Amino acid sequence: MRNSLAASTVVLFAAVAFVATEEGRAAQRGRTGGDEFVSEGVPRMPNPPGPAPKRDLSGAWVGPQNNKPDPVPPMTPAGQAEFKLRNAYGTATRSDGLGASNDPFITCDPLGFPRDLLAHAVSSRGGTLFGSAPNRILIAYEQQRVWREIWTDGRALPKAVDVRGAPESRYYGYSVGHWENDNTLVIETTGLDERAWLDEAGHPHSAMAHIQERYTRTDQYNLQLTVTVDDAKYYTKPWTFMRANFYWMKAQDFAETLCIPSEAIQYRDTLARPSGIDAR
Amino acid sequence: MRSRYIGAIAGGAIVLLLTVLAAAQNNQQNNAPRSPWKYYPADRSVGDGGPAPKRDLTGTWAGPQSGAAVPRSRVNPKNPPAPPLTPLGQQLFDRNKPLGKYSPAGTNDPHVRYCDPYGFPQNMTNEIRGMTITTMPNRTFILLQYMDLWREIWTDGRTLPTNVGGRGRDNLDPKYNGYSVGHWEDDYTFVVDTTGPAPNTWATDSAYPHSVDARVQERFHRDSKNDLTLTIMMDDPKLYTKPFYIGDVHFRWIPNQMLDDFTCIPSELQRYLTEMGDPAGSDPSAAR
Repeated sequence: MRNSLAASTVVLFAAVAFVATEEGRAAQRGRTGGDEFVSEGVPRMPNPPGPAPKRDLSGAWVGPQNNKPDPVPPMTPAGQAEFKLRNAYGTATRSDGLGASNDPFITCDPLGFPRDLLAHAVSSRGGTLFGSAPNRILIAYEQQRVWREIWTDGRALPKAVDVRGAPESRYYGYSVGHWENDNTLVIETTGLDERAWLDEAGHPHSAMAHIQERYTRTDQYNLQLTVTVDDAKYYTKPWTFMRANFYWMKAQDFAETLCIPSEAIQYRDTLARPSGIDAR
Repeated sequence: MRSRYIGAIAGGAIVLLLTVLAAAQNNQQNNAPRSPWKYYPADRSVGDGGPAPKRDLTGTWAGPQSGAAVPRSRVNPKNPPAPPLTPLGQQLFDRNKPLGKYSPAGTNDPHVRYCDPYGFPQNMTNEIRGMTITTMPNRTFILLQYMDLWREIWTDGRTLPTNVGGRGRDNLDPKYNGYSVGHWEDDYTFVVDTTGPAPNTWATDSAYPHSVDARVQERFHRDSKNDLTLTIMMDDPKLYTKPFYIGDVHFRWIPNQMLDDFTCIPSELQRYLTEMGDPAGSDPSAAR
């Protein structure tokens, strides 16, 4: 048990390290160098901030941070069966160490949505960028440098995926969005690839889970996010998966935060597994 | 759910087969209702669509591996003719074992063995099925379909860093996507200059190397409303005796602006290599 705990601690530090090293160095240099290409970290916030611009989230934000979710509700029998197959690491109740875990992110498999919202860059408070293209809003993330598109042309979400004539499930799903009022953008997402985990604990989501994100820009520099998961296949009721906030990023510039598969796999195979925990 | 395992490993024959099958499937579905969520390779822009809008690349474009009959490159950027290498360049090139010359078990291509990022500039020439371009007041974003990856190009007038790599306290780290700035040379040509690409990546699919000091210039020329041409030139005096013209990549406007999803999944790749690729052996003939 002690070895297991020690190994878990070591591997967690190492896993964090290989993702964070580059960003950490960049942040350090930002404090000393002042180069325009380096993120500046926490900006000084004007007090009081100005009002939120209408129907506009564009730009780079720090976050989501300070997440305060509701507890995960009871799972359905199908959800429990799927959950039992998941062997997480780094959680208080299900920690068997990285060497034995089947968390797909150990090999840098895509985090998928909505887990990517939780797994923001570890050495900072996360980075999220909103942009736009015709008929859509684009969201880009610091972690893994992945992006999503949110269609705002009034189309309906797909009613099915992975069947004839329907689109294929995707790691980041299919999303539509609309402005509920001048400050609140509501995004609905479905069609998710079931290989991705909902969170680090290994909770599952089904392909047709329905995820709602509500972004409310409270003023010029602050943004609040609530994420609700509704997945009747695996959970007995919907719940609030995230309550988090963002603040405006002064430098508007992210570090490059990537999980590199060759490094992660080499670490797992040369250190984590030989530390005494066999992979399943 | 279609397997997203990369076609690169399986080789050209399988890619060709999949393309043919996809086209056949598409033809069968010609009369079926169209989903707004799907990319249909056979639904293509017609003609040039008229004159190009000025200083505007915004939108979603089909690339050479999209199945949308995009014009072929004059110089194939996956395997371009390189200028003579310096001794250091030759040494690095000789260390690299690209797929094609080597089998999946024999190659040391970090993307083929692990799904490691291609890095820039290879990520603009390899597995290019499509991309979306968008702008903000101070930068342009290129959102690549393959691996759901984004690049940013600063257009606020800043200069490129000159201190990437090395051990100095204020030096910047190399990046897989490098550091990029861009400007409009004229109303239809957007020029992007990049430096500081991570030196552990390859410049081309054929394993030509680059250093962290490489200067890469991309020229995005909007030929018409429906046509976009990218040309790539790399200047890397540490490794090459002359500037290296990497090649040209053509793009066509996608009518419904949808891309499909394609990514390399490291765990699936490891399973493939364990069960098939590595047992097949590292003899070069295993690559065929």
